[in-house]
Amino acid sequence: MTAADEFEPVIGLEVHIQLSTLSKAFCGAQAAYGGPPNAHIDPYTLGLPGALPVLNHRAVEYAIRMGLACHCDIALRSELSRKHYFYPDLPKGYQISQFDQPICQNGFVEFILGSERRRVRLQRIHLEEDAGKNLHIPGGRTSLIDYNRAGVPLIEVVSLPEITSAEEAGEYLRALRQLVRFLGISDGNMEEGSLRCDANVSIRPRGSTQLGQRTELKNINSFKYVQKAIEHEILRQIDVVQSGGRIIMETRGWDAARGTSRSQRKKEEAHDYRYLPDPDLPPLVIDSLWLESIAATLPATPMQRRDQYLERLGLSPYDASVLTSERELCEFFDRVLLAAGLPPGNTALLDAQRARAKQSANWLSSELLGLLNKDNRTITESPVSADALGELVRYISDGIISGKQGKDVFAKMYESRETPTDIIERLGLRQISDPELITAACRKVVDDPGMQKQVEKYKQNPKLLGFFVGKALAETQGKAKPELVSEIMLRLLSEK
Amino acid sequence: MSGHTPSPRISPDEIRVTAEMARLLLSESDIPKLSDELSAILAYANSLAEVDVTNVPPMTHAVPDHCPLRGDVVEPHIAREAALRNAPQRESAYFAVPAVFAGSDEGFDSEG
Repeated sequence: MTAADEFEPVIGLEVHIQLSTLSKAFCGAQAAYGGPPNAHIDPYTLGLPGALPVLNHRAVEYAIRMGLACHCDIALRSELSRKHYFYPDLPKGYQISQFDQPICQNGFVEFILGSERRRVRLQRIHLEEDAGKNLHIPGGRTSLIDYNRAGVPLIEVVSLPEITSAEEAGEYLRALRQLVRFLGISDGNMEEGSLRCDANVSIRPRGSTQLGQRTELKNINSFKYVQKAIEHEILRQIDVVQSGGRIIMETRGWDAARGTSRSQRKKEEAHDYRYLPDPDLPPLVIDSLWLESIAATLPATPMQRRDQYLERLGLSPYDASVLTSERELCEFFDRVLLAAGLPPGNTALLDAQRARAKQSANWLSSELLGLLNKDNRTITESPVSADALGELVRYISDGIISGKQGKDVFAKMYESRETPTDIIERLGLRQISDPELITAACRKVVDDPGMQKQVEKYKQNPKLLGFFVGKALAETQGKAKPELVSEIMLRLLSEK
Repeated sequence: MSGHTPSPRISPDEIRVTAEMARLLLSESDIPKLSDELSAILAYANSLAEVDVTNVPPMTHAVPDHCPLRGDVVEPHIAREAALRNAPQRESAYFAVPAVFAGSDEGFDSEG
């Protein structure tokens, strides 16, 4: 048992997610990422006197969507509060957020860790507005402020402290990103800051049920560093405790360049945010009919898709993971299945249909995604449409062309964007499965006077069947279905 | 002013902390006076504690209204030049402020 095994980490994540609305949370300024500095500003964004907040309908809807997808209790009445602190990126001197009455409470997020299904429970999801951006110039005497981001709507997803490894924290965060993308409420782009993560980390002796003193890790701004930063903090805390020290409550900033963290704020300096209900904003009341309509139009979550792929289609967990990694991929796959002739919806499938679904998944995940990855293209940029791929699967499973021919057709589809029907017609690839035509080709071979010597030999050595099948296939320019040729040839030879 | 609930006093230390959070620069000589004045104000407000509010739901706003919502529509912006014209200091298209250092007590970025 190593020293690290004596301790068990306890991790809770606070994740801020920018909602992809057109306008900001409380005013009509543009919410888009980027843009020239200070282009998306208006009197409210700048906190000018007299400017009043009016809440964006869509931001509320998106927060509810997330709450429903995370199985939260949606508060039909919640409160918008002011959180006070002074910082140049916050012109009003307070941020509008939610305090003791958030819009969503409880709930959970599900994801796959290794091969296990894991569930992390949530404490809450609340609505708030983002701050502007500071540019710190190293060694400079001024900092530069861009208010484009100020006021962009955010949800903050707060988990309970029940994540027990850095790896699990990483998977949880990836699941959140995947979920918001499926719900269409955010692009979840960590590099552009539309998804940001703070981690509360503590350790305790393995088996203990008490929580240790926690530290808060901030500034983790890429998926690559989430695991690293948390892993580093766990080891740092173990080190402190083992060398007789004590963990103090503090905020630590992750420094990706140095691969380490440093203290930013101690408990003694902790802030009192003086939360109070915003006098400009009466309670947020959600109409139950509105809530019902949001629930009725909620897109399927990645986990729901996964369950459907595993149970209805009989796909492998690996294929299900690949195909549910992006919403666009799921939608593409669903169209492939339709074009391949499978019934839509949740109707139960026959074994042959499941086989066809499996075949469709293979063509998509290994063939098409393989080429797309190689060419650095996304599924939406695929030269092969979902309809075309489904058609190809259909040709193969109906025995019109062989699997081997399918690969050639597919390569041509990818190159030229032609439909499989056009390629098959143009190249004359249609497999012959008409028994009469095949019998004629086989008869031509066995009746050939030049073949009689081999026919005699066959009677001693049945292994020669392959030779005759090859000849008959050649008669059809390779278009006859080999299994049929073999079957018919066997019959003709036995009659000789 | 006399009620069942004793009036809390605002201590000089609380005055100092509050002033710091509100970014107010007070001289030490102001503090005892402010402590007396604010304690008196609080004691006055504390007379509300005598009202029996059992079974009265808590209220945060005087107007019995629901939060109005706006459609997600982009509306006109302020021209950047007009906005920057009133800035105490600017640098090209940015508002400029005295340097906020990474790792200062506020952290790299704001609270979000």
